[in-house]
Amino acid sequence: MTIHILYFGLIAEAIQCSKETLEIGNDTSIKEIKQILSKKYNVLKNLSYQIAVNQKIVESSHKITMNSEIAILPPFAGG
Amino acid sequence: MKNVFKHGAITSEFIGNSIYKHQSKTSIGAHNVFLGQVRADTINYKQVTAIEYSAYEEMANKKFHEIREAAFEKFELTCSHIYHSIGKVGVGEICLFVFVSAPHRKVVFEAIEYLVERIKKEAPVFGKELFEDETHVWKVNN
Repeated sequence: MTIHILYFGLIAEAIQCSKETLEIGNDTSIKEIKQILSKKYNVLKNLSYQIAVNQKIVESSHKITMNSEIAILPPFAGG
Repeated sequence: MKNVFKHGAITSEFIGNSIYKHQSKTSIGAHNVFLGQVRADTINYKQVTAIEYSAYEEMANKKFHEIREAAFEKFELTCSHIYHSIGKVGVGEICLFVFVSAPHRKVVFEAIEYLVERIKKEAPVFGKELFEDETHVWKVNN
């Protein structure tokens, strides 16, 4: 299935990419997405980030559904 | 969904005008304002000259809305407004403006702290601290 991934702040800078579309298997969890991304972008292993699915922060057990918007969010710095 | 983001610094004219606009709401007896200002921190012997803000804007606007709604439920407020900068804001300039109004004073102190702490912790806003030599570091809220 297709998912859309957005990268922000220092993560986008580190991997030189702010958005992309990925094909993943059905029932992929956030934990598995992290493994897929770490394989693709080695530098991610050393960076801390949270993941939002359709604009909500989710736990690593969360399963991704088709056409979801996944956002990789580095630490916040608002205010 | 209301857009909380304003390009560049939030000016004192804008802040003054926001206060002025509330003069017609005569049930209000107390306002409280929080202003976040960009600090000239020294990091590795270099001084910050500006912060460049970026955000996951759609999610951030939803989050700001959720935080505001929660504040209305928790405190007896007449009004509450949040504005956050996006893009470059120089040191000494304002990057966050939180404004609450209520009939009586006590709740506005509590409400402003509640709003600001939740914004800092939960809004997906990112800040690049820029130095004079055009290098930068990424800011992280404590």
